[in-house]
Amino acid sequence: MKGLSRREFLRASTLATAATIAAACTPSEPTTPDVSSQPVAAPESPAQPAAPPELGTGVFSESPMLAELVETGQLPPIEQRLPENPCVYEGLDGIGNHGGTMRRAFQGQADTSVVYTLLNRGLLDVLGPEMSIRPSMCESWSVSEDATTYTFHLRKGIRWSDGEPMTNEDYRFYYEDQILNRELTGQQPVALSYVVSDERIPATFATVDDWTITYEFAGPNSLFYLWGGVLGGIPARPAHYYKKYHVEYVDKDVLAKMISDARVADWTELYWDKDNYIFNIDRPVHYAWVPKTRFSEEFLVYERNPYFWEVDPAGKQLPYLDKVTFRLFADRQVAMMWAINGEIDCQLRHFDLPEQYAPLKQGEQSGEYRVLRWRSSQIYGSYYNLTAKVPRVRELFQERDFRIACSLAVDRDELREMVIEGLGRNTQIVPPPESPLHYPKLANAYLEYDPDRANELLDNLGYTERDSEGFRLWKDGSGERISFANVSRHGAKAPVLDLMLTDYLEDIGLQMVYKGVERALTRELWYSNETEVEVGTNFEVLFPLRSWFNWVLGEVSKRGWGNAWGTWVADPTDPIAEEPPKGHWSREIWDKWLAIQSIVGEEEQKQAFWEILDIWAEELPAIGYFTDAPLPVICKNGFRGIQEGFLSDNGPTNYENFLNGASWYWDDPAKHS
Amino acid sequence: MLAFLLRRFLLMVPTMIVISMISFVIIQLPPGDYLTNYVAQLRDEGNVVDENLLQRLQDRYGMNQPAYVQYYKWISNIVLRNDWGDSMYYKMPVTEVVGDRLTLTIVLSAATMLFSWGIAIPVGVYSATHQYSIADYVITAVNFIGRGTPQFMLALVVMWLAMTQLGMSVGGLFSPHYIQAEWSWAKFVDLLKHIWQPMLILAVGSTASSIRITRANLLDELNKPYVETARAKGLKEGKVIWKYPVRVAMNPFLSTVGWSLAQLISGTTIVSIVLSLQTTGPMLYIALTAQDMYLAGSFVLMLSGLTVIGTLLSDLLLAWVDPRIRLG
Repeated sequence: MKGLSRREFLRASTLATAATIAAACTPSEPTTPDVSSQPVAAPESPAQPAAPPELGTGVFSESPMLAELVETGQLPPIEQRLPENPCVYEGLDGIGNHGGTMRRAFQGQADTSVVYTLLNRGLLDVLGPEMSIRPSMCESWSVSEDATTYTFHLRKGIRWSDGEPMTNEDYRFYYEDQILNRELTGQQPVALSYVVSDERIPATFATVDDWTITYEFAGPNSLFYLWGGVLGGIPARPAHYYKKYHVEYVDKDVLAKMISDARVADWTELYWDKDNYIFNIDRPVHYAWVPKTRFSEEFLVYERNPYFWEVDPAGKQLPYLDKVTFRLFADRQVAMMWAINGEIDCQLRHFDLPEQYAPLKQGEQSGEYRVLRWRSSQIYGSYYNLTAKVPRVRELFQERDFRIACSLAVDRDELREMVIEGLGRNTQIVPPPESPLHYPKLANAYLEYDPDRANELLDNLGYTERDSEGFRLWKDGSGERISFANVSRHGAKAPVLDLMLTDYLEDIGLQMVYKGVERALTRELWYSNETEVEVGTNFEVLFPLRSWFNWVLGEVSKRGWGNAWGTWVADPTDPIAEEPPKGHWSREIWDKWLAIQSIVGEEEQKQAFWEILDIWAEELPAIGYFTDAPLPVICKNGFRGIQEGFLSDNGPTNYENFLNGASWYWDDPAKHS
Repeated sequence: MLAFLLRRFLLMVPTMIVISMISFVIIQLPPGDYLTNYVAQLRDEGNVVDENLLQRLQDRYGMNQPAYVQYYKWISNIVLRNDWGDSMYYKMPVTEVVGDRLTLTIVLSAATMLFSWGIAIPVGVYSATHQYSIADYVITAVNFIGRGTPQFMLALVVMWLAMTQLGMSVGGLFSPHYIQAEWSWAKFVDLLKHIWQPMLILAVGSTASSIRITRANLLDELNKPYVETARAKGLKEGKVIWKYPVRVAMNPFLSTVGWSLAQLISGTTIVSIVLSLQTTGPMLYIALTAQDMYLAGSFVLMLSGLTVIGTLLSDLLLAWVDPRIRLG
């Protein structure tokens, strides 16, 4: 056939492709978002909330969605649904409007936090931009002088989401029938016991009157309010519901039938299945929104709880939003597209990687949202395993000057430049300035970039010989260069941070080898004490007495810098457990920590904790680099209740908790149903 | 024929046994198990793990037992009680998890398959009969581009275009308000509006190879003497091409159609993940990465069973279509 020969065709198409590639490779103008390098100051906290209106004066109001149900008789009127003295909260943007839906996205079955962090409320909560611990579901609480007895006054008339009253029976049931029942709860939780050597003496629960409960401990337990399940959670379950599945309250045959119907092995499995409220949506809860779809669906819908026990200062029942929906995505890129398309109303989770910030900012106009800049409390650091298996590695890591040298060898400013566009600030691993327990001496220890001094320190330790490439040699005469492995869960592609740290260490003659493995494998390696270095972040630093494991050994696999020692403290019989040497500073830390649990009084606790941080400032067990990485929170135009500039931590100081999702609202709810 | 069939059926049993053992072992191979994965994930996110919860889950899923005990429990449940186990990840029976996704997967796979064959065969035939024409070169070029572009990238590009140019909501097969709604004409229309994305992406990749195969096989056949003879005898051109050489060129399709049975229910994984489709592909992927033994193992067993049956079916189909092949 006449025409284009094969050769000519190939030639033409190659040229065309080459031209296309050349065009694609031409760099376009980078659009940098206009960000300052200073952290944004937090706004002023709002005025004190006014006292709630008197009950019976008819000044409580509810969402039109519920008012309709009251009209048709499906719900009792609001005065009968609220407790006598509801909790009062004023959101950051004041009194809001009832109605509307908030749309969010979640990544699959493992992403349960996306619901928990929004919903969790407790007897006590961290509320308000000043992040103070306030009574939430309880009216008030007190601690005895010697910190052995905690008393909580419950709100009279408070109800579960199905309308049944919440009483001290629910608290008693939870403690005596669930926690103390060894079939259900294998071991008495530490938080609800007084620990004497190895024994956990369970607390005693008592009801003083219909609306007052106490927990009494065999000895002082001054931190119970932080981890006893009362902060951000309630030590109670709807007894009227749970008793149907508890072996002590149900007929054996009825229970046996339920067990076989549900295809579980025994009644405890049935009980726990019913306990899981995101899958068992029949279970009454105390949260602002109640699940209407099981968590295994593609599209989750949560609707307001008609019996929610909180109001705003104008008497409007919270939450303002009628519904919260979550849409399933598998790949983060799809979630990004939704965000840029304006289909996400308010979310931080899954949009918190530094590289997502620029595209999100670019889509602000067309998506009709704004990107609020928050700060992450995560501190990036290196954790050298002082109890590493290989003797010469362990010897090196245990040298204080080695760790100091590793800290001085890092140019933190440059690191921040590469990892988070120069934002954030340098720090060691310490509670942030927003916490009263912030300790500047530790925060600023060895932050300067001084590779000469670092080299000097290592020389003084005796590691003076170097090989042809400039790496120092071990002192054991083997002629091998100093090399240790950085096990990372990030897989084959090393993150920029790790790569730069490798370079800095190379400058002082140490070789850190990057070893990317699958996440489950990192845990296995920690549990068998095979790891040498781990580079990563920690979490939850705003309430150090709650997240003590950041600074005190005792729980392995939580960024262990003394892996084997920590295991020994937790469980001496573990094969990798190793007792720290007598008089070692890690023992001092542990002893001081134990003492704190008996100290009453915030100021005294602070001083005691500072002693621990002082040891850290001297010994530097783990090295911190920087914190305050930018966290974008997507917030659609017209959505109120969230503002810019706060610090986002984990646990009860998650942004959704302390800014109270129940106080968020739409300017125009009708447009967002 | 009967002897052949009987022999094949008998062979299926040991095949399936071996497959079940191998898949069980392989799924258990990565270090750790579902629980350690789960714990690792929780810890990475900064959540404190309740020690009692771990113990409960370990007891519940029999993690502490030796591998052969676990295997025996799993396989005996399937064979004797038709109980495919519970998925640890979804906290539902495996049959429910798979069943929820099966209809959509089959619909999507079948539609894509028919669509791609419907395009590939005529285009391949045209390409072969009009070899070296402009059309042939264009088709070849598009083929190579389609083959060379990674599917997930194509998926992202198509989604982006759909979002920015067409203003559609992307991700998933339905718009948010239709996901929970009952089936209706409007929901069906919504499905059509979304389903062209995965179909287009998948078709681009698979038609490319089918076209090339058809073209190559047909070119081989078209040069054979019987084609010349048929033409010389005055048979219409269309009939010459379609009735004889194409039938022979179809051989490779038919021999692989057996695998399509498994393909039908497993769908495609990468594109489904990118597009957030609720099909069985992503489900299997998630089950494997989370080491959800029952879901992954049971589903792999299902797929293997279908593949074995499908292979038999395609052997029979081939024998029926091509008289040169005799079984037995």
